[in-house]
Amino acid sequence: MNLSALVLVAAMRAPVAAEVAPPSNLYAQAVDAADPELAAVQRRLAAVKSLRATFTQTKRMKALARPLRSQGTILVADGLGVLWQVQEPVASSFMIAPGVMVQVDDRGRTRSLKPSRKPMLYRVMTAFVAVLRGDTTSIGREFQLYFHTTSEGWEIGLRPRQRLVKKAILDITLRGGETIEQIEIREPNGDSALIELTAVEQDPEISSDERRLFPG
Amino acid sequence: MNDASSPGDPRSRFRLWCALVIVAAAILSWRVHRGVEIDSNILHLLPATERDPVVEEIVEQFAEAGATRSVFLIGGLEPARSVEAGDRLAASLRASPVFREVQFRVADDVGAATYELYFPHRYAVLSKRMQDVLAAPDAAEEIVAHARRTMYAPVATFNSSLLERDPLFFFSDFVEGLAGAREGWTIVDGAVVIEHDDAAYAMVTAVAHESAFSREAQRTVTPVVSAAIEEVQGAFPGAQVLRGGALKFATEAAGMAEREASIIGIGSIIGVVLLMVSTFRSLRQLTFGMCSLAVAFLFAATATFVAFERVHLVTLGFGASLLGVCIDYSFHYFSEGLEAPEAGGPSVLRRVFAAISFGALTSGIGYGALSLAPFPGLRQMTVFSCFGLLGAYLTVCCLYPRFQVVSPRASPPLLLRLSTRMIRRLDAIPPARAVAGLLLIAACSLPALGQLQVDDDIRALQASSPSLRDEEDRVRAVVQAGDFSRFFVVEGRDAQEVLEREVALRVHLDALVARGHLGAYFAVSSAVPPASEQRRQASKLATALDAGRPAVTAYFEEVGMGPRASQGLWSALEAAPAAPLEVTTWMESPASFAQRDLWVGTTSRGVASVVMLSEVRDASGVLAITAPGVSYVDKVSDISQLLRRYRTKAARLVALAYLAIFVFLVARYGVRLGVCASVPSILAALSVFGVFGYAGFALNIFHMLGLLLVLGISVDYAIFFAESRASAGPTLLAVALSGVTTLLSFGLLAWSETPFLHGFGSAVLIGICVAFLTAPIAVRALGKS
Repeated sequence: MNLSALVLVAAMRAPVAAEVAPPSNLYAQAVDAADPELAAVQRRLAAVKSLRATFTQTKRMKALARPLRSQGTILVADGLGVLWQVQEPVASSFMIAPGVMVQVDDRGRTRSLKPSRKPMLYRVMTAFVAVLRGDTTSIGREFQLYFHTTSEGWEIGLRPRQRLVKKAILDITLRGGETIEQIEIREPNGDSALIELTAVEQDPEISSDERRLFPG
Repeated sequence: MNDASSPGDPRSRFRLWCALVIVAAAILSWRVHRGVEIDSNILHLLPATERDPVVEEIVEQFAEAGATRSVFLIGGLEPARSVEAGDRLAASLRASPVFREVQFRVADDVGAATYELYFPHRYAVLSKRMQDVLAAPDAAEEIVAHARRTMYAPVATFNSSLLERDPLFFFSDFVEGLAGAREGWTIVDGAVVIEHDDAAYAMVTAVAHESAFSREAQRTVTPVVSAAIEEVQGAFPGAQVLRGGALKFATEAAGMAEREASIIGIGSIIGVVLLMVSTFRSLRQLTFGMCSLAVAFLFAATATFVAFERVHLVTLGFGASLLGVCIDYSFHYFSEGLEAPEAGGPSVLRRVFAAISFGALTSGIGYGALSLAPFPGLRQMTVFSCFGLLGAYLTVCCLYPRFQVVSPRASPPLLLRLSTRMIRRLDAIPPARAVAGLLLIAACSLPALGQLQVDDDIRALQASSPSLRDEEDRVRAVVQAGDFSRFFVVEGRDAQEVLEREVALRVHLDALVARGHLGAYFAVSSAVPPASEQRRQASKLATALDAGRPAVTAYFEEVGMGPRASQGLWSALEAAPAAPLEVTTWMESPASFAQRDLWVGTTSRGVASVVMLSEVRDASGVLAITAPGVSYVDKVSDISQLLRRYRTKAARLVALAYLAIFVFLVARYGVRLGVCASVPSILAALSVFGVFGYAGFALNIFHMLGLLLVLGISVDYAIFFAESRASAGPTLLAVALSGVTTLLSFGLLAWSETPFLHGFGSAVLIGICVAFLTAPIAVRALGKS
């Protein structure tokens, strides 16, 4: 974490874990990374190497009377990284690869960020990718795992282990059935972001233009 | 021959000598008992730069800060591991009393402290980007557009809590800009970890009580540091610890100097002993010779400790070279005594008296001239050397005649016979050939004079091993700290004036950075803008947002910004301006830990701060800056310039000394002999220049000072020969012995790795060789024939 992130964390003054009611009883019981049902879901997810989807992100913040909605596309390219392209209402794109984060705003201005500078999003995205790949051991180090099946499919919960990360993220919940359908990130102060994926395309064609956006 | 004139003289002289020795010994023991301070700080040898005294004081203070600070970078491990290693290192360093302060894990407080310090001023202390936005007419629209972008960006840098209190992200914007100055600085578990070139380094900073240049500090601090580093490397395999700071250089240099001084001292003594024993074949001369040296040192030490409060280590080291010169008079006496061993002491003395008296006089002039140079250390050396010479001279005059120093022998020893034969041959050289030979020596040197170079850069005088320099370069590259030797001193009546002057200076510096002439700079005003600036920005912000109220309101409506946030913003802008952020508050906050040292505070004529530069690529731009209350300090260049000025002064001094001695020689010996007697010293100087010119060595002030010494000693030889009688075997022997011992003492210096000793020694080595070779020819073959 770098200095500016530390300062902003202090500024956000998140109150210490006032338990926000979980969406379901997912967080009642932690599971082991080796849990068989979790492993089965992970295997199914890991079978898909790459993923392209349309997303709608809904941010609910206490300070805002209405939720903030944005839409775009997301591409998880095997061996390359994650490309997150927001189209509405303000265009921007965001690329994460191991050790690299690049943000391009609607004016075409590029900002290269070291993962150490923006750890929260980097953590969320790498956790997300790790879940997709079935890499429970690596997530298990950073997060406490939770899992259960529901009528619609399954829910995987992640709660951060590190003190500083806990101040910014309460938990990350991934929901899906055949494929991954939702990612919900909740913060200790009650703010939350829900990313809903639709039109999920498994193992899509990745164009050379898109490939060029990734490093290496 | 018996001395019939005053039989009582040797005895009374001897008694006088005894009295002097006892008095000197008493004074010395009293002085030592009172406590003698040996100064080991090399920096105290350097002359004071002729600078404004207040600025000089600030420079001293800053130099002190630089000299007491050490930085340790722990790399080669995972960041979390390196933090643990840093804990271990910091704990070991803290456990020792030599460190005043050890910093590690400061950052835990820094985040919260920075927030507490700046958040209340978020509408007055703005980022550079925001200030530029405010300068444009449609500022409010741009601010809203930026806020919108931030709201919808995938990278979320805010939450409701922050949003309510800073809905347009002024504080977030400022924080981004603030941290940008130090690339790669991250915080892991509350400790500073710097990422550089794909490696991560945990940084521990330690401030010692003593300056790195004091020998005392080197002796106490260096072992503590080495032990702590070893401990960390043992407990954390793979860890690499890099040290930054002056301590390692200073320790290396001082250690080298000490080793060399002992070698030179021991080498000289061994040389003298061997020479004496092999020449005179008797322990008697050796004993008496040692006695004269002991008395020489007694007088030298007494005079120096009485005259000076603190004696520098280098003076004592230099004094070790004195041996070679002081023994000359004894050699002369002994050699003369060898020729006619049945002669009594006083008779021998009478024969050499003129020679050694004038010799001592001219050597004294040579050493005395050293004191005219502005180096504090040289004054001590002059006192030490002159009194040493006096002691040796008095011993020869007062002690030796009293006793039978030379034992009667059947025949003169081998070396004396050889010298006698040699001198006869030298005397036989026809004047024309002698002149030709001497002219040849001169002619060899003259062409090289055109190739002579000078180099006054003090950095040439700093010989550090490449491994230490590499280590320092790596630490510099990782830490990206400022250069402690190049900075601006900004003065003003009060803190605000200083800050405003800094801002004016920074305009120039920003231009240099933009042109690539300067890497970066560090100034307090970057962290604490002047109060007038803060008020101006707050007012501009309020005006801009007021003018663009419709756009802001529309945006708030769009995102559904709660009433608390929007009302909070408008009321804050309309309220009376809060008190500005002050330097004192900033200093007290943990947030200022990296830059606190830049604020000097109150001086005798106001308030001052320092703006430190980093990576000065083109000094001309920096030098061209003039601004009120601002002075530029470049320690390296300042001292180098001082050395250049004094080199030219010393050159004139040397020329003057040569002239004075020439006049004296002519006055004493008449024109012909006088001129011939000057030749060896002139040729000696010419040869030094010649060798340096051909070899491409650059001259500096220390070579000039070496020349003064060469003058004193070479004139000794000339005088010895000028005063010599027809059969001058003993004189040649004495001069040969003197030459060898002098070469040993000073010549050994030429192999020193310490550049200034090396320069000094080389000049003396070359000069003495030439003087020794030419003296008998010039004076006897030419002058006396």
